Amino acid sequence: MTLRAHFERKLNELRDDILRMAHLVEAQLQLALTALAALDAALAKEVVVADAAVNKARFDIEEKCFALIVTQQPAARDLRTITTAMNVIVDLERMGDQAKGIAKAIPRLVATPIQPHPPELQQMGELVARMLDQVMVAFAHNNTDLARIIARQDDEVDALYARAFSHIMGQMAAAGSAEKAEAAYELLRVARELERFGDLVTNVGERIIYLETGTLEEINVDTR
Amino acid sequence: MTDPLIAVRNLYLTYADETEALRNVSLDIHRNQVFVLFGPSRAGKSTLLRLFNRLSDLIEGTQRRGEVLLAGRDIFAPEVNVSALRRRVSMVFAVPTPLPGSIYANITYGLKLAGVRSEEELGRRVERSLRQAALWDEVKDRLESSAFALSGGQKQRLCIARSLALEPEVILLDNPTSGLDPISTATVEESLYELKARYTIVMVPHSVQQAARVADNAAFLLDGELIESGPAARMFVHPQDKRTEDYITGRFG
Repeated sequence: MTLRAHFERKLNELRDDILRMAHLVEAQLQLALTALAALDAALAKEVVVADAAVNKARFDIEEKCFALIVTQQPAARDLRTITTAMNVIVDLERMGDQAKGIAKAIPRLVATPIQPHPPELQQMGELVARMLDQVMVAFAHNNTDLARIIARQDDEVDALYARAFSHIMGQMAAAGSAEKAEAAYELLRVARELERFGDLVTNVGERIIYLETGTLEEINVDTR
Repeated sequence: MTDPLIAVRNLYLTYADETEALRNVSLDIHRNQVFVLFGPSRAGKSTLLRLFNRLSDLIEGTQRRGEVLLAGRDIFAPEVNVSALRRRVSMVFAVPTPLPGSIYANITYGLKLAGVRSEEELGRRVERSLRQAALWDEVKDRLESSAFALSGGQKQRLCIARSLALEPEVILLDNPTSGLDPISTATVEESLYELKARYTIVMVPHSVQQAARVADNAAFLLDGELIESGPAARMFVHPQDKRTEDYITGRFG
């Protein structure tokens, strides 16, 4: 094998590591949403504990990136591939934190049930999970068109968030007790985590475009 | 882990003028890797490299303590045949040193000295070593031309091929790309990468950057002492000793 072939194999391994990490994050999100729907505090706890695996994946991949930079001294596209990887893993790790944030809201929602949960929460969850899935397809195939399409879906996440926000504000106003108000606040936190998750998926899309074009651009400017 | 191919144990070397060139150096070099010795000038890198095939014997008045083991046997033991040792551990110098004569003759010279007579065998070994040194395709149609007509990078790969012809176990390279342009340097580095499948390579690099590019494992030497050694991917990302960090980042040297 030539040096170049060796380097390319390492870059492919890096991409596969990132895809595996994204799967882990997606599983965390799905479990958090299941725990929320079922008000399952034990499952929520599992999500909180498993976040350490996401963090570890990030640090392991980061180490590999450092080793590649120092030993391969990459330039041009090779350099962008590695810096993209380093940015994407930070976004993925934060998405993992968002899933954990949802899980951490659950115990209070179990203790003081607020019904009904705004339907937008599960809708946002499904949407951002699908966006993550798609952005990883775009990442695996360097597909900038797909990255832009995903970014547009984030507008839908924002719209759902706005509706969930009004709904929860109504519940908060009608709470009648500090406990209920706090539980409603936790619901708001869940909505906020999901909205942020969508933003992070969009960031990954921006990095894919940077990798392909060499230009950094905001692909979903918040104009509200 | 398997036993190291080369093991240096508490090695001290003092020159006739009482300069201590190496002070208590211990390290292990394993098979089929590129091991890099790096550090500022007068660190003891070339001294250590030259000890591995006892070229250091040629310097009068040196005093040595400690051991260098090749496959577990002390290379300084009285019964060791130095010519045989140098056939197992061959050296390529900074400045390419082709012999007068054709490309073909450069490769067969050492083989003939070693007793290889059959033209067929010689031809086979010439082709194989030139291929291993990634030079074959460039010279196969002009094996009878003078070695001096080659470019700098080609001359250096010819010298590498010449050592390979004798089928050594270890190839020592003392700054083999010092006089080469970046393209020729890349070709030599590329051939090193392919050679380590068969050989063990110990090299003093041209720069820290080259050390990081080619090394599997590296040792940082400073004023005759081994400061640290380990996998390149670790050492060039998180050196453990501040002196290594300072040297790698260009704060001295």
